[in-house]
Amino acid sequence: MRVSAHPDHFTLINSPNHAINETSLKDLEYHHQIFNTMGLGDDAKLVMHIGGLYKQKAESIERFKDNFLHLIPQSIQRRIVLENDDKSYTAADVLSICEELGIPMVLDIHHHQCLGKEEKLAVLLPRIFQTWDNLIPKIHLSSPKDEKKFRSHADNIVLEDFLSFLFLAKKLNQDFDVMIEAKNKDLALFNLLQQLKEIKEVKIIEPASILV
Amino acid sequence: MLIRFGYVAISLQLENASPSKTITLANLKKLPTTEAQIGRLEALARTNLDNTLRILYYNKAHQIHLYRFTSKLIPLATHPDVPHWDYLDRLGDKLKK
Repeated sequence: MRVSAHPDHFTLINSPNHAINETSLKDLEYHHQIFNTMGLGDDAKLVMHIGGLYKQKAESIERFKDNFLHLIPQSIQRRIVLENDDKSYTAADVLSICEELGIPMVLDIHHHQCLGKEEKLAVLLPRIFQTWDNLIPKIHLSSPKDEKKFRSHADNIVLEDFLSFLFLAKKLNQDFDVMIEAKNKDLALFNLLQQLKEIKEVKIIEPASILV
Repeated sequence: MLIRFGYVAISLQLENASPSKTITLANLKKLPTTEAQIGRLEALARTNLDNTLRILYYNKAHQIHLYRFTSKLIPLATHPDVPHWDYLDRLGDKLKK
């Protein structure tokens, strides 16, 4: 089974306040040690965001890179994957950091709708998938709760939110994994698979796997 | 191309299977001794790990190949005001499962 963890959103390493970065390092160490004790290898990943903007984006990105390389031990670096967020760092921002530092990138397609949707996924996606090298790429999938609370997660996945991505990704013919972030958890997963039965290009091969 | 789906932390199909039971710092501090406080944290962590194991079995049974652990398996693990205990040492056997 492919497993991961997502340290809390206040776990960030690009703060101008070094104490916050140190606290975040402790949290990453906690996750890393739990995974080690579970006997999980480097393929058990820890998902992180870039962090805050601190009103100076370019500097904040530099601080992230610097701290990633010099504050985080290499054994933990190997577990980290980076995700675009919904307020500060777009998919293109995160991709360029991932490419520079050799870090896999998790694309969150809901966050992409919240921030930076003018960036064309058709252009970015081949490069995003390439950051995973020989690992299977992973994306995050959720649907907006409603127009007012667009950033919040809905109970289930709206089929069209996945399909629009699927038909884009299909051109790349690359296997990938989808982490569903919905209030209804595994029920949302089965609900989506149920909906996918109606799509003629999709073949359900297992309760939680499809062929396209 | 193969696409696999997974979910986060908790299964809604399993009864009483929270993997992230916790306690507030205020309630923890009401316990009279450090031993009692650590005992409480350890009991919660054991429940969380037991429930995580149930969830992993459930995933396996349902051929779900992708799962994200809760970030709160060990309650208050990185909180600076909590008495230190070596959860890796005490729970090592459980985590290995």
